[in-house]
Amino acid sequence: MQTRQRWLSVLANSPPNALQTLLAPWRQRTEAPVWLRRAETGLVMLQGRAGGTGARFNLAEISVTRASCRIGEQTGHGWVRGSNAEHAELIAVADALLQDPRHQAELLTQLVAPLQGALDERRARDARQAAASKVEFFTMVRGE
Amino acid sequence: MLHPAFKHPVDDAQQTFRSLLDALAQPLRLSALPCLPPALPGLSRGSAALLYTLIDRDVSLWLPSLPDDTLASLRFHTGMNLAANPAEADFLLLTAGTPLPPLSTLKAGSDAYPDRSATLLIEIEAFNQDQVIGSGPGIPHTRRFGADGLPGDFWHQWQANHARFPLGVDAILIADDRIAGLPRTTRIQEG
Repeated sequence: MQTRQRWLSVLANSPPNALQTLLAPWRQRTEAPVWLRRAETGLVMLQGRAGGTGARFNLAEISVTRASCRIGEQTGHGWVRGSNAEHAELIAVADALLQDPRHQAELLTQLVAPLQGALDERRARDARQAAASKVEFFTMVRGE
Repeated sequence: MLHPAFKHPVDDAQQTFRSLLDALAQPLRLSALPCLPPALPGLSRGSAALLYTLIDRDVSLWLPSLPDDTLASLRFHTGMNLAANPAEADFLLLTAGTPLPPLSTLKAGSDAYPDRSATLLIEIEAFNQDQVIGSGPGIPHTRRFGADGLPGDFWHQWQANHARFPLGVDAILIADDRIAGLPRTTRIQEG
C-alpha cells in the first residue's frame, strides 16, 4: 500500500504535461478507461497543527479536483490540488494501470521513476535557492 | 467492481428530480424517466436513476440484500448511509419480491414536521389500469390504476396510511424506466 501512496503523491506533484507525455504510449496500448466519475472540482478544508503537535485548527479551504475510472478490473482514483481536470483524469488512468500486476513493474520504472527524479531535482533546487537566502541573526550580548 | 452512474451527474439528476416532482404532483399518472444510468446488478435502471438523484450522505436508506458490486457502486456515487432497520430509514427501496414492511411501522413524521417521513421506492413488474380508482389532490375526478407485482395487501395498508394524513409515508412505483407517484394524499378505492 505504501507504494501506491508514493506513486499517487508523485503523480499529483508532477507537471501534467510530463505525465501526459510519459503515459501516452500506455494509453494507446491498453483498453480505454470506463469513467466512473469524470473530473469534478470541489473544496477541501486544510487543517494544521502548530509545530505538528498542537491543537488542530482550520487553515484554509483549497480547491481539489478528483476523477475515477476503471480499466479492466482495476479502479483508479486521481486527486489533485487545484482545478486541472485533465491532470486528475491522467492520474486516475495511471493509478488504474499501476495496480494491474501485468503493467506495474514496467510502469514503475518508465513512468513513476522519471517523474520522481524530476520532482526530487526540483525540490533540491528549491531547497538550495532557499538555503542561499538564509539569514543568520545574531544578538549582541548586552555589555556591562 | 464499480459501475458508472449518470453520464452527466448534475444535469441528469436535475432532470430526474423534475420528472419525480411531476409524478408526485399528478399521482398515478405514468411518466417516463428522462435519463437512465447503466443498469446495476439486482436493480432496475429506474431505481438506480432515482437513488442517484435522491440519496446523499444526509439521509438514511434501507436496502434489501443486493450484490456487493451494487452496494459498492451506490456507496461510491451517493455516499449513502444504510439504515439498520426499515423503521429508521428516510428512503426504502423494495425490489421485486421484497416483503413489504408494515407501512404503519415506518417513519411517518410528527404533527410539527410531517415531512420527516419515509419515502418508499417500490419496483413492480408492470402498470395496468384495473386494480384501484384513485382520487385526491392532483387528480381531476378519478384515475384508474393498477400495478402487477405489488405485495398482496398493499392497497389495504395504503388506505390506513391515507387516513393518518397529514402524517404517513409517500411511495413511488417503478417499472423499469417508468414511474408513478403515490403521495399520502391520494385516496384509493379498490375494485
